[in-house]
Amino acid sequence: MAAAAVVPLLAYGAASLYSMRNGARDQVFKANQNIARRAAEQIDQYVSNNIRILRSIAANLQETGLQRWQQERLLRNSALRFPEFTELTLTDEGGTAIVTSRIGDATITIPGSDSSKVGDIMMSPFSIDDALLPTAILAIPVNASGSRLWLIGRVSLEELWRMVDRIRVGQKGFALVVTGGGRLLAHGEPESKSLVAQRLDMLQHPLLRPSAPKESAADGADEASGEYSDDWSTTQPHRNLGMIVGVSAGIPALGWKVLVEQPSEEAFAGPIKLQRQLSVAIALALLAMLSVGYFFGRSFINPILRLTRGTKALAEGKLDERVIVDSKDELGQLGTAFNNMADRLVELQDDLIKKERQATFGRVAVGLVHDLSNPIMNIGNACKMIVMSFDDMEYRQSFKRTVERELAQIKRMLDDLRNIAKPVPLESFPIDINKALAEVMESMQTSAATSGLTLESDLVGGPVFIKGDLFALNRVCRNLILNAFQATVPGGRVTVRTRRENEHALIDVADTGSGIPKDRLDTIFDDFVTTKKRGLGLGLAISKKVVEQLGGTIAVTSEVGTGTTFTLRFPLTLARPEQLAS
Amino acid sequence: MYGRGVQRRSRFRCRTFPRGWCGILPFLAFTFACSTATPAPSTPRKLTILFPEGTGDSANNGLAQIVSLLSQEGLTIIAPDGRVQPRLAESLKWSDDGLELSVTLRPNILMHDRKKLDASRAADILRRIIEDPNSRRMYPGLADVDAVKAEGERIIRFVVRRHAAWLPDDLSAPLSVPDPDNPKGIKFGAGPYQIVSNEGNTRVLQRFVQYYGGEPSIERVDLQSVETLRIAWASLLRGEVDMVTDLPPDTVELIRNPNVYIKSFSRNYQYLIAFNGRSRKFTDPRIRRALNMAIDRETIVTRVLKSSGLPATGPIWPKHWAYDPSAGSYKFDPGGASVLLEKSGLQVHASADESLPPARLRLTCLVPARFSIIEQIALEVQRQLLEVGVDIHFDVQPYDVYNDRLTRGDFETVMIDLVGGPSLSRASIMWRSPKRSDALPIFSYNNPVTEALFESLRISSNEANTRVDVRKLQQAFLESPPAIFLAWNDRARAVRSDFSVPGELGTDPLTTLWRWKTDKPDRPGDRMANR
Repeated sequence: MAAAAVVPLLAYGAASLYSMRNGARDQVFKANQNIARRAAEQIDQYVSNNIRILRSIAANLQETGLQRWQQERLLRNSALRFPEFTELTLTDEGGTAIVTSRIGDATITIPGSDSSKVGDIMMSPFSIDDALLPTAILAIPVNASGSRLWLIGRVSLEELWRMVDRIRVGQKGFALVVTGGGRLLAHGEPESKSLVAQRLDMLQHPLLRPSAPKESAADGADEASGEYSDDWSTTQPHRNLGMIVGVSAGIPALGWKVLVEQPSEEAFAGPIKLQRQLSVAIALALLAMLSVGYFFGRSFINPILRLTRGTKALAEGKLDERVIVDSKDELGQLGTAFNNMADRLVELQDDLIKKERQATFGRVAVGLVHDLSNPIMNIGNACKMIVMSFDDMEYRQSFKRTVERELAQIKRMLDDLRNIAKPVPLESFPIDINKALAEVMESMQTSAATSGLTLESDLVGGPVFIKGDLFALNRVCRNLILNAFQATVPGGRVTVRTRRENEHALIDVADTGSGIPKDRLDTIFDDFVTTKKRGLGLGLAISKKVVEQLGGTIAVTSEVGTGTTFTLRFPLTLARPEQLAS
Repeated sequence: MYGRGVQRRSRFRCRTFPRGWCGILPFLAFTFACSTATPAPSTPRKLTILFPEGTGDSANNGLAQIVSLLSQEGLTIIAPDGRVQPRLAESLKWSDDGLELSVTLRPNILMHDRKKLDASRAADILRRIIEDPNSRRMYPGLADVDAVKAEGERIIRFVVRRHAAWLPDDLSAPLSVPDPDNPKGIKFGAGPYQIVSNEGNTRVLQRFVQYYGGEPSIERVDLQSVETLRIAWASLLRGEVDMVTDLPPDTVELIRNPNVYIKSFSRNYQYLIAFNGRSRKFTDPRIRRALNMAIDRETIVTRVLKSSGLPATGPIWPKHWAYDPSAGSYKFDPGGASVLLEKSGLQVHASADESLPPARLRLTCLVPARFSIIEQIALEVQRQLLEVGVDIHFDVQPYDVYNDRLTRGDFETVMIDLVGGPSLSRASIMWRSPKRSDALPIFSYNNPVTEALFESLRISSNEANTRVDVRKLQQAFLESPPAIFLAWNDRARAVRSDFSVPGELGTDPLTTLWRWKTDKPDRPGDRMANR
């Protein structure tokens, strides 16, 4: 549910951030582009101004009838007034100097075939003069005294450098001016001014390559922008500025380009900071919303959770578990009802345990009385008889046997009680159950005969070895056979069988007795549970414990009126007769 | 340019004399360098210096000046305020009668020939300098010396015929002896660097490890002149060289960047247009005063020198301790100048040659070619003088021709970058009587007032009198100027910021070159060269 509430918000936030980031990037490019455009306009205007100055000087020479000295003064004064013109020379059509602003010989001539035309003015390609300033020769035709002359000016664009130096974008952004031929004219970054002297080929520049994406500005000038690494030059060491945001604006009249470069890190610092702040704000808002939701939700869900936990605890038998519900609403009432129910369950359990304990005690007491009364009574009777027949040697022998038998009976009963409380440790040796059962059955044939029963065996061929305690196994088998005798009316039959099934040895003790009702079959191996009228009901419980101690299982099938079969199952062992012997 | 250099020849020739006394400048600045001993060098390496021609001096003069600056020293050095400080000397002491100067040498000074510079050797060298007429003209204080005596190992005694106030100044003459095994004029000095090669436009100097001030850090200095500033700058910006010596003022700000720092310092040189005293055009001092009044010096300093200089209105170095700024100066007054010229009988009239403007006075000025600053100053002066009806025409000549004509006095006026300090003796040389043999009066300026004042200053024995005489001298030059004084100029040097350059602000960084340090490794080529 929380995710359903948060995910749309997050998606909206991410979309907003993305949109804002792109918008901010566009703004940076646009702002830098504007700077480049303005710089281009200024430079264009600056060069145009110089051209206008030359035109103006030419106009003063044009058919004004100035004498030579006046022309010379005009040129020299102009050179002083406009320091960009380091030389102004008037030549005839053949290029021979007539007057010059220089105090020595003229040094400039009409530009050659590599010049370009700006209106009626011829302009040589810009070069770098001795003072490292971009310099070009401009020439304009002048008509004077019926002849065609040329006013030639060497213009040194010192102000161009200053203009470019003044352009700063942020702390690290700067401008460059490049000619159409890829010649760097000015570089605003102090460390990179040497590139002007080094004649860096700017045609490799990402914004000046022929493949660079171009846009057309309103005035038709080519513009380009992009983000690129500062190591674009294969000949110059890069400046460790990382990525650069670069834009270019053209100066169509001159064929030059103004580039404005700024490290991306700085250019996008604002948007990145804003994005970061917005991310943090969104995260905080989300966190606040989740926190508020969590606390409100908890106050509502907590009682339910506590009730759930309490119910689970009760189911696990932890009847002392209670829930704390402070509210006065329906949930509070439900919590109170739950606690009342738990209290009632505890009372009922205590009552049940008490009754069970009383019943067990009663059953044990009845069994003990029964089991002990017979031997005690027999011993008592025998004691009375010995007084009368003390001289009878035969009777004395009989007395001795009677007392010994009854004491043995009492001792066995006490051993059973002790075994229930604390099982006797068993030893484990390979034993042949066929042999063991044969011995047990032989010893019990007399009892069977006395009870009018037939005790028969059906033992599988060959020895059947299991690991176990021979004495304990004999006791279990004897107990089962004895139970069978007791449950079978005279004329009945008790059969002991052995068989192999997979890797197990099975022993069946079956009788044709009265059988056990189905509803009691599940509890006949519990302590103090018996179907007999006498006894503590410990025989089967002890047998089960012994069998399980020997690694086996005991099961029972019974049908009332038909008989009962107990089946013991033990893992076969590979023990050899030699081992058995040893 | 003209007026600086260190070459002196046994036979006096005008074309060479200015170089010698102009070599004082390096020694001046060395005062600061010598003030403390240097610790052991860190990373010995080669330093390459480029001297761009056409920025202030000829290639030979420029190189010679720097070589002299680095390799030779005098007994004294003159501080920028004109005060004398000991250099190779430890102390100087006048006798009570003022006729004997005792100079005690520093102990354990070795010259580049590894021989000790003791009193006897120093006295020998000084006697040769004094006997040289050319030297006597460049160091007029030495002309008063009758005898030089060595006493013991370290004391040199100068016996003078009268009190010679300028003698301590002129003991700044660099002491050197010719290398007998080297036919190319290489000399042994006692400076921190020893010249080892003098070929074409290149000079190679090796550090002198036994320099008394301490072993220089930089092991070798390669000095080379190049044709243009652009070549020099491009080399510096590419990191191929470590220093460019002379920068025009208009390029300083443009080139400044974090890898190169610019060191500007005041020079005791001024641009002026000297009159030839033999020309009758300048006989009337009113004309000379008018010409000075017609000049807007502030415009020259601001526009042409880009504020790297000071207006000049006389030959006395304005930072000299005795200079009196209240003594007066020329104010820019073109109206007054025109009136004064009118009063001098100079009327504006048209020329028969229509290529010339109407003028009341036409002058020809000798100018060296290929000096852009001088050309710009010339244009400005020409414009300003024409405003008062003076048409000055510039006779531009290659440097050798210019120098030759200058020394022969073959000019009407001449534009020159001339030394004017820092001592009074330096200021006097050019403006003494043409008949004197202990001066270089190439401009033939003859003024009994200034001549008397110079003589008075030459024998002055107290500062108060000196101050009074200097004030009078300033005023006398204002009354009868020998030249159109224009501007004292600054000089700038560019050094790669790899180097740590000690020294006070405003002093020539070359004077402390022996104390420069760098932690940057040599360039591969340098390391090879150092092997």
